Amino acid sequence: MRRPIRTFLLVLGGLLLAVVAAAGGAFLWLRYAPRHVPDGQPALARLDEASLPRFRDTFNTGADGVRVVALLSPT
Amino acid sequence: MCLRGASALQRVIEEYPSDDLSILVVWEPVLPTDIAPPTTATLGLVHDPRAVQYWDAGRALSADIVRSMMASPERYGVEEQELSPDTIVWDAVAVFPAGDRWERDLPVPAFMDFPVVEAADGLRASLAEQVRKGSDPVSAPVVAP
Repeated sequence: MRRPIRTFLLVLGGLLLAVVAAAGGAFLWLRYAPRHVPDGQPALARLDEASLPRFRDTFNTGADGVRVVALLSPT
Repeated sequence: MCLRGASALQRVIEEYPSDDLSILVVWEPVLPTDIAPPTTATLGLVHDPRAVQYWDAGRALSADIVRSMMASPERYGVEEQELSPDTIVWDAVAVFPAGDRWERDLPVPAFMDFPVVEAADGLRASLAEQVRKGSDPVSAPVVAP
């Protein structure tokens, strides 16, 4: 009876370890993966309250044409 | 859903190759997994060279849009009770006609909808109308000599 319990605990421990490793890998990937925009686009810009006027300027620079603005979450 | 929305956005904008179209894509953290800026693969979903992409870690743009709408909901055709300072504008797309400028408040969009993946048809129709207006000399603004 003792052996099956030990085997069960070993398997459970292995599974938990695998889950933690997978979650850690996913976290590291999300946190440190490369972040480059496609060719031809300006570099990814940071936007915050202080840079909102610059964002509006970019929007207004294109005022001769139609503008599309999209707000998306990255995952 | 948002990643499918980004792909849908790319598919629609590539139908309008005009140089008179600019695209501003703002990525912001909303979901628990949004712990960092979008990866190269995610940024590549909108690969149109006319696009400018941003990472808005503090959701400043969303807050600014909500502020504009709460100040004058009737101007944007939204119900006042639908909005609160905690409202997050996300997975949303808007089209702005030529000539409109963004000063203090958000200009009134010709089209705005969410989620993006389900807004593709409306976005396509609005772009068709706005791009046609921009290239139509009859509807183009008349400049006095």
